[in-house]
Amino acid sequence: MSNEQQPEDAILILKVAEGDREAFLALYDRYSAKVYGLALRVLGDPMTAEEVTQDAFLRLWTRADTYNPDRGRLSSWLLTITRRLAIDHFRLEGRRPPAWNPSNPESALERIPDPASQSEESRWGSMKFALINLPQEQRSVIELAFYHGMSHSQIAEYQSTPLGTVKTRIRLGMEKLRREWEQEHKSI
Amino acid sequence: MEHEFEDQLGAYALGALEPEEDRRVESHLQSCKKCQDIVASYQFVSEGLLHAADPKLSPKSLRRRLQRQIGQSAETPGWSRAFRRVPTSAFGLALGLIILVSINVGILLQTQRLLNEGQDTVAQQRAGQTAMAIASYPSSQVASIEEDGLRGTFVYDPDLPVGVMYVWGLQPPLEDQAYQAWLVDPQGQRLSGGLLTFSEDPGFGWLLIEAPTTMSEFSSLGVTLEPAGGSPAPTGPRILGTDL
Repeated sequence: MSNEQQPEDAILILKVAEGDREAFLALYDRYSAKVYGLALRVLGDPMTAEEVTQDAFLRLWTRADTYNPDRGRLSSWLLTITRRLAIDHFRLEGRRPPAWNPSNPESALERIPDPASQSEESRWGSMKFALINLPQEQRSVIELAFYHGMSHSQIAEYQSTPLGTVKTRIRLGMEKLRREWEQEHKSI
Repeated sequence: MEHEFEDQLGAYALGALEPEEDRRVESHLQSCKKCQDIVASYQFVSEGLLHAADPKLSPKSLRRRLQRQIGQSAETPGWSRAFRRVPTSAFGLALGLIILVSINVGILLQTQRLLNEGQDTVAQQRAGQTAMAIASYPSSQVASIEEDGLRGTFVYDPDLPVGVMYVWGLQPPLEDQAYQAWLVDPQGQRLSGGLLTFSEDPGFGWLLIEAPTTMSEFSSLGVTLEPAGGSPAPTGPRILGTDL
């Protein structure tokens, strides 16, 4: 809980739970780009991503009292809601994953965390960098699973790849991300 | 056997396991501290993936829409609250479209009758078509109107200068009177939106409003009873209104 914004988030969400619209709009201004970006990453369609963003923030408004700060950051709670809503749309509409379009490596490089920085954004930036640095075959299965809610067997079918190969790629990729995360965590 | 579970923990944290595999891992986690710790570290990875998507600026109209929706949700109880929030979800949009289709069916039936009577149907069809076209925009809105036995909708898009109003339950105006719509900006300035076309039989009125600027420049919409031909500024009693 070293996030400098965390106390303010905690105060704002309490106010939202009491019906404070200004607090709600402050959280919208703070997190709408992340929410919309995640929805767009899952769906690949601006119109539906906007709808998901709207629904995610309406849930924030109506269910603010269910947020428990002991269980994690407000931003992660909101993004978890967003991911679930977006994946529900993805499944309901029988969408195919958007064309493979990895995050721009250059933009990620611009966000390589400053080792001296302890900001939360630098941590997330390091995860993005680690994801981009994975071999593409590992990165793609992890992204299909996480951003599109696809299971092992669905990924195998989608990629026309043996199921065992998909399982191995996910295991290797996730182990690498975990090691990167732990190293980053220790270095902070 | 334990090694087998360890190999699945990354996929478990991603939610990529099949339901049966997922149940088996969850059962194993109940009694294996080592795997619980590994899963906890994978959950940090999952959290990182949530934040790894590139932030993107959301459409400006979304903030306005949310602002309006949370205002309405706190103020208006019961079914009318649900009705006002119709456009907030796919379900709501679908319901809104159904209502619009129903409205258009009504308009078409009425149009047929008006055709027989030799009245102006072209404008009414145009209004219905405009409403349907507006509804197809992603940021279209349906503002509900409920006041003293009157009920209706105003279909618009904040980023467009047009909107269509439908009202039911209107009393027939006197021969020298007309219902006039007004767009109200945040400073309280009233701009005429035109005169409602009134159909006496069902107390039904409608109006295609063509504003000089986008609807986002206005904060509310009202209707007053004015002398036939309309007034440059409201002079008669306010009949109904709704926030935009």
